[in-house]
Amino acid sequence: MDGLDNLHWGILRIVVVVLCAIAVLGFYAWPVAVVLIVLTVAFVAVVVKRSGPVTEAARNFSKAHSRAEGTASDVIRNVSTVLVGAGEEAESAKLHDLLDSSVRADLRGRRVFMITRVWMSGTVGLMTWASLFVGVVLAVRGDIHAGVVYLVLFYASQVSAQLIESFMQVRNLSRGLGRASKLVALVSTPPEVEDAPGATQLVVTAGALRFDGVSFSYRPEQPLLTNFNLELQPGEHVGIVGPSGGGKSTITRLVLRLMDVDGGRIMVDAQDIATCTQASVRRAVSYVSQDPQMLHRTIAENIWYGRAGPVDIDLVREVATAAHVDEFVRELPDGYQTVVGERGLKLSGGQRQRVAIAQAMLKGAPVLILDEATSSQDSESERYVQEALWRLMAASTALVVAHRLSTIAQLDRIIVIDGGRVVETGTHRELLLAGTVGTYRRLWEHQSGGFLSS
Amino acid sequence: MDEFEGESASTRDTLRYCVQLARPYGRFLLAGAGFLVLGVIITDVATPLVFAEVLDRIAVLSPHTRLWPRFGALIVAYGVLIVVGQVFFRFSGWLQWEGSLRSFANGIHSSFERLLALGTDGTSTTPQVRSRLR
Repeated sequence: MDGLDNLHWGILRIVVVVLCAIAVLGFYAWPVAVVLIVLTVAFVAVVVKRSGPVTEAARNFSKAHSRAEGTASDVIRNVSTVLVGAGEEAESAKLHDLLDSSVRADLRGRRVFMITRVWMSGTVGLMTWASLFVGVVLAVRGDIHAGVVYLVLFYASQVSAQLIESFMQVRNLSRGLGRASKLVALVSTPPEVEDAPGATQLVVTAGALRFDGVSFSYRPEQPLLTNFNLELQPGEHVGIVGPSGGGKSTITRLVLRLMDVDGGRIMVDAQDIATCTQASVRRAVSYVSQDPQMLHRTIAENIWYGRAGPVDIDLVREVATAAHVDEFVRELPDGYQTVVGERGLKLSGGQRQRVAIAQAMLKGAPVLILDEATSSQDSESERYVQEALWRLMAASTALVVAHRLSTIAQLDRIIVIDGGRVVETGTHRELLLAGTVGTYRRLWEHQSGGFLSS
Repeated sequence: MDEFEGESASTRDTLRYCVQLARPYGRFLLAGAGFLVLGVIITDVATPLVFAEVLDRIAVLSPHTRLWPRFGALIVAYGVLIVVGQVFFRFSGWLQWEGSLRSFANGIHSSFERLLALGTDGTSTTPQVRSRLR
């Protein structure tokens, strides 16, 4: 916005003023017009020559400043991590260095600006005096009369002032562009997941989910999923277990199309989700993560999120009761109108998960993904929440990721992933009673207090 | 530290992006520029020329000349030109400001949509790398 202001009042105005000055003086006192043209060109040459260093200095300052600002903000946001790690002194010293760099970058910029300013002032001063000198000579020779002398004085001072002003505006413009360039770089980045040309709407009739030879990696040299195959019948509830970092959560992100597969296909009711719009895929899938984040809105609005129209508080209360949200909401002074804070910080992890479960219940999507959805519950809460989850899953095809094996022991089928492949599959009982000691049984035996070791 | 450094777009790309944001409101900006040019022509060309004419007439003024018939029209013209020039500048400023404000709002909205599409909160300028590295 400032940039447009700078362009308008600084640059456009000076261009018009200089052109008018040259036109008028060219008519009444052409030698003065020649002086103005020559020295204006000299001024522009100086500006062009110095604009590189000025822009570079502005960019360096912007970088150094945002680095210091970003570090300060990061440390404050994660202050408990810093305190627990006894990192106050180190962080303070680091910020001191960054601020020092920022100050030095600004001072370097100031030096570049001052040198440029000296050149500007010199050229403009020369313009004023040269114009006056030529004007006086013309007047003494009787070539121009009093009114034209006034015009010479007027334009010499006007053009000089405007040229200096224009440089300030160019400098402000450079600073603005320096600040905007990072945002422009960010918004120019192509999205990782885009709708294919002619993408269709995903239409879910039954809710069958199939992974067909899916491969995926975060780093090309480290494949995470290789030829991963899995089929869920409509209404089937399948648990995924495996060591940490084995790709369980990645599978859930791929179904939501938060990332696209590197190879293979994910099919919902025989439709490849890569050929469907992202929005239609996400409308068909309910997702409860291990660390749900809430919008800085009321509990009722968060539960209602994803549904169109105004909040129906009766419906919200109904699902909240089923998800055991009502129990803690009743204790809050503002009840369902309690604002949950940024990212839901006013709620505990378990409360956020229950709100997310209520949200998923209300959404009623045919495919349900639970990614450690009971990880933040204590044993008593977990029992209640599992009841709610069973109700939630009853009408959906469900893919359940859990470290806590008690969460998935009752599911129709459990698959064990290791090294990006399905290494075992069966019910809880089948996997435990398998003739050989498999990964699942080993995980089960290693489980202590209901948790798996990573 | 890399999280805060990120990449910067070139000046040309940044300008191109700004022009793209301002394009839907080009009529405000062009009208503002038009009024600015008119304002400059009136304030910095016509007005000084009238004043110069006044000075020329003063320079050749003979005693006992009646001033109003000699200068009245010029003084009125001078006043009118100053007022009209200022009106044009204020129109120019208003239109330019409205165009800038709307372009700015457009920029915020389009950046917001872009960040949503990228799935980043803007603290990292390399969303792909971030998501790929988890």
